Amino acid sequence: MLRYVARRLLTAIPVLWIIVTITFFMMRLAPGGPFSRERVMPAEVQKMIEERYHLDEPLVKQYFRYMGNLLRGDLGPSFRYKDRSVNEIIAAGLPTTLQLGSLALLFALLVGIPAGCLAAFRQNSAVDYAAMSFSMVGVSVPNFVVLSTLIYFFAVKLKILTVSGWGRWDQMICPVVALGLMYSAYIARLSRAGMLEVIRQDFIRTARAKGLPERLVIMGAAILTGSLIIETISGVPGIGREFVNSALNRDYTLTIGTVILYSGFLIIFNLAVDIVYAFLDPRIVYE
Amino acid sequence: MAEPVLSVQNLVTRFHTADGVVRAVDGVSFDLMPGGSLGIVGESGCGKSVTHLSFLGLIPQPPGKIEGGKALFKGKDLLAMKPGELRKVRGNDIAVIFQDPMTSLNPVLKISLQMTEGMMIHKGASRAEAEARALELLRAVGIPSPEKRFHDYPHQFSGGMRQRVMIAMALMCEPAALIADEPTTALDVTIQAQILELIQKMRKETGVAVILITHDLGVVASVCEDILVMYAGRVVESAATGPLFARPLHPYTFSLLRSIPRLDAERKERLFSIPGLPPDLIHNPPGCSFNPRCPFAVKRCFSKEPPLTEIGPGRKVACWVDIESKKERAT
Repeated sequence: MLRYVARRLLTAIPVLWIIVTITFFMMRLAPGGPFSRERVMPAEVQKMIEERYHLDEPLVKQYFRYMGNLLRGDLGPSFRYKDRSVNEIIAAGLPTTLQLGSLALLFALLVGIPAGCLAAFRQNSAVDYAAMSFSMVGVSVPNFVVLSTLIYFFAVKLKILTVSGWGRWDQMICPVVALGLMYSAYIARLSRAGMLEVIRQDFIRTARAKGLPERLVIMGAAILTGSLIIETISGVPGIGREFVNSALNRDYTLTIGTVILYSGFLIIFNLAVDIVYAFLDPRIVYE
Repeated sequence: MAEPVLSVQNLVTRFHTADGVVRAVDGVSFDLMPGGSLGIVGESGCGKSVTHLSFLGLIPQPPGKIEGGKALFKGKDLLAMKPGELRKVRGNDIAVIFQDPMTSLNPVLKISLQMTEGMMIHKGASRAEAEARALELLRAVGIPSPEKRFHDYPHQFSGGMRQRVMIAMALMCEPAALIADEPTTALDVTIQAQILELIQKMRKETGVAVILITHDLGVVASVCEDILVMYAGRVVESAATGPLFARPLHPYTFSLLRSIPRLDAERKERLFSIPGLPPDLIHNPPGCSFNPRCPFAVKRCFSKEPPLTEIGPGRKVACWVDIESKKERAT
């Protein structure tokens, strides 16, 4: 197992290198640059800025300069936010994003799994239809709409929550629910499908034939369903996605920095999922 | 004469589907004697499995519905029991071995847990007691060094070994009846014989009465004392094994026996096969369900369903025709 994890982490290095390289050149291929403005800059000023950020050097040289810094853990200066390095920007935003992401995920799991399992056990009943219609809405409505609606009702009209900010629970509920709702809908649909698949298996009939109480029969099914659900959680892009979206304004270094961060998360999450799999399903063995 | 352990009387199970009502089990009756062995034979979909799943409360309801009959286990009607009472019978008094040992064991739980949980629930045994019993049974069913394999997962066993585990698991609570639902169908031929021998051995050693459900007449011939032949949800013939093979009375049984390849026969002709397909159980033809495929059918077979009638000691058949004289039976 340890060897497997080590090997996976080693293979992550070339993957990240390829991602960085592709992002670096794609950013430069895109028309426009960090300092292109509608207002024409004096040529000397433009030249000075480009010299400062080494934009006047050949692209290949810029690439090696960037990779050299990257190896030392320096993601470079931000092109947009003067006097702030990409490292600083990420360090400032990351804790909040992580907090938001994990709370949203927790919310999604706490709502999605019970809803999906209940729907599966009462298949084609009112409970099932209600849970599935609700999750259809959850999947379809974009989270910014959910967020605005929540804020409108709970913060503006009822005044029990706060419109914006982060840190206190009354500020956190709206964004967490808005972000978690869509994933809870996905997870509900997945747990329902997974549970339905598992409870139709022969070994569930065996468990019943042994005269086990229904509670134990279902527990036997739940473990296997768990490993099906884990799979989707790995696809939850909640953490880091905002970063990528907010950074796409030709701020070369910030963009690459967030791409690296996001890719790193993806790689680590996928690895974590594979490891959890092995714990849930004894048939999966890594060597 | 001893009381039967299990007496199924006129069991009727139907499935109410979107396409219509499926008459899966249509008036099946049989008695299982203590320590006895009864074979239930028939084609796929003739209601063999639904019969036992019905009285054990294991068919999905809805769409399934038990619409009539009784299933007396030691004098108590299983069909009248509440789910909780029936649960105490399942696995405890009546145990089941299913067809496919690959899928009938939970892949994510250890054999030790799957074997012992039933006994701990039904008998209130401690984990240590249940594990001791499980190890004893694993040894009895021929698992080599069971202590080493006890905490393995099902996928670490071969198919035959898994079926041995299933058998040992079924015997944990010393049931009075064991239902083996096609226990050898998913196994290699060489393993099949071993498993059948094992079931025989366990029956002799523990005195458990066995119902063996199969579509293979060869299997019942070697294991069962009595045979029930089912067709389209009904019992068409029942007899002791010897007489049934020597002198089949129902055209279906007769045709089935003719379709068994024989090692000693000259291979001049094509192997006999019964023409046509079993009827779908929604649109049964009027009269006897076997009439479209029956070489002996007479006019009456197309209008009136023949009842299962006792025509000799221990011999029952549901047919209007005496196939030996090819004449209609007097009624």
